[in-house]
Amino acid sequence: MTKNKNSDYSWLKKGLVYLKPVFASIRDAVFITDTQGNIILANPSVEILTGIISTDLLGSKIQEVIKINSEKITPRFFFEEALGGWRAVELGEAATLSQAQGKKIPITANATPIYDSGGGYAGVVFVIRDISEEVLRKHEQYEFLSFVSHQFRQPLGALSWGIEAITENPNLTEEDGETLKDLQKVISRFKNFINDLIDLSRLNKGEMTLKHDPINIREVVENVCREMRGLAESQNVRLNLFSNAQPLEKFIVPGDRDRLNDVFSNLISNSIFYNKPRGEVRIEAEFVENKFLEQLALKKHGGAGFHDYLRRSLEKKVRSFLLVTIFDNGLGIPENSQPKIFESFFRGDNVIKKGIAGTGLGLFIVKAIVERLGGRIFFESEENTGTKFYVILKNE
Amino acid sequence: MILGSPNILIIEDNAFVLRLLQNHLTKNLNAGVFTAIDREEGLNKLKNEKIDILMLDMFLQNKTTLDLMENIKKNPATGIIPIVVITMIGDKENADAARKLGIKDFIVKGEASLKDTLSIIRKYL
Repeated sequence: MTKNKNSDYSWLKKGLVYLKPVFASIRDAVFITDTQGNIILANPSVEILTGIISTDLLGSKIQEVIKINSEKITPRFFFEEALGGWRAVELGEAATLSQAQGKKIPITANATPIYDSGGGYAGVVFVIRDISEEVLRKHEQYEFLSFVSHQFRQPLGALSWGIEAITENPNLTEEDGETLKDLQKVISRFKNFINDLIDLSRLNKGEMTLKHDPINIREVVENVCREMRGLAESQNVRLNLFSNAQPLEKFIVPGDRDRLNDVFSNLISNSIFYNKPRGEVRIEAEFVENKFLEQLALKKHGGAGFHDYLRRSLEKKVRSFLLVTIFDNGLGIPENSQPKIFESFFRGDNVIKKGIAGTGLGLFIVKAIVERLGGRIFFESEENTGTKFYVILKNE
Repeated sequence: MILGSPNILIIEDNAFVLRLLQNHLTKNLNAGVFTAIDREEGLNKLKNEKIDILMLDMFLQNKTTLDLMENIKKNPATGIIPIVVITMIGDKENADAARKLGIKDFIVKGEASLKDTLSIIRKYL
């Protein structure tokens, strides 16, 4: 047990006497530590959360007794940042806490610095919340979603084939033929939606397994664009591919071909759909170093936490990244929508008004896949000017 | 059975889809088309008829047919029959497992058109 020599924290402890009943009535686990992380106060909820009697924790270092695991931020970094005393820190999603009995429970955690009356950094309040119930409830939702979307597939397949069979009837009137074509389009949109829902529930349940084969991203993008040529033509949008690269230059990174295909077909079809007549979609790729990306990520949506991402990549000796940029000079994303575009079921007001169909799941899925592949995605956009998406993939 | 022409067996538990496929293949191909609505009927016809191509639903009565594929492939009497598997959209995992068993052709219900189905079957005629 290390005690802080410079301060006895008597002023803080005095204040805490009055606050004790307040802390005791809070259901979240609350710790107050000095600047070194020595625990000065732990409320009763701490016992339920950690399985350790709260008085046993007093005087121990929080970074030694609270065992946190997180996919997004390393625990060491969380405590270092928190005890740095500069700012409030939040532990990203998908964090767990190992209880004394060895059980892992899902949590959220944040840390806020305390300053004394003179403005000096004096300690930190840690609040840790057990989110087991929320996770369970979400899981039930996903199960339901998964069940419903899977049930839709069979009838959709039958419908689609049934309509195709009728279409082949030579005695069909022209009008009926048109109706059937429209019906096929409706079914096709519905199928896309169901596909997205299935992907969504898989991602949420952690059931999406991704391969790490060597993939030439240029090939993936060119294939996607070949499929979208008709769409681009009907929207009067020009596709401009890899004008920054050598004619046959390859951009090979580890990944899952089908899923990368999903990522780029989502992003490219968005930039075609949400474009203006005579607009352009430009796709470029280049291998870049981490320093370049650090600058690029600044002030971009989705760029938050990028510093920590690069730091951890460096720890794993990843220095080089493939940066794929998808530019369009289309409708753009309204500023108030920008923070929300990666949320599930979100759609921008401007595209809804224009009557462009979509499920609001595409970008959510894109982001999840890119991150599961160890990459990142962010963007910048201006309404009526255009959007730039940056996809970063690790070059391991 | 049409004499001298190849025979296709479709095992599919959705009666509507089964009839649709049967009609479509009969109309467009010079082949005999047998149908079966479940495993038992399917295995019987596979044993008793001279089958040249098998179209098999990935799911029969809510169970995957991966075991069936494996058995058919292993059996010397049926091992050489090409199997075309009918899957549903978004079922990559089972398709991957079937691929490992040596299945090369898949028809995704709702994604592949009936035309696509014909061209896959034609490869084996």
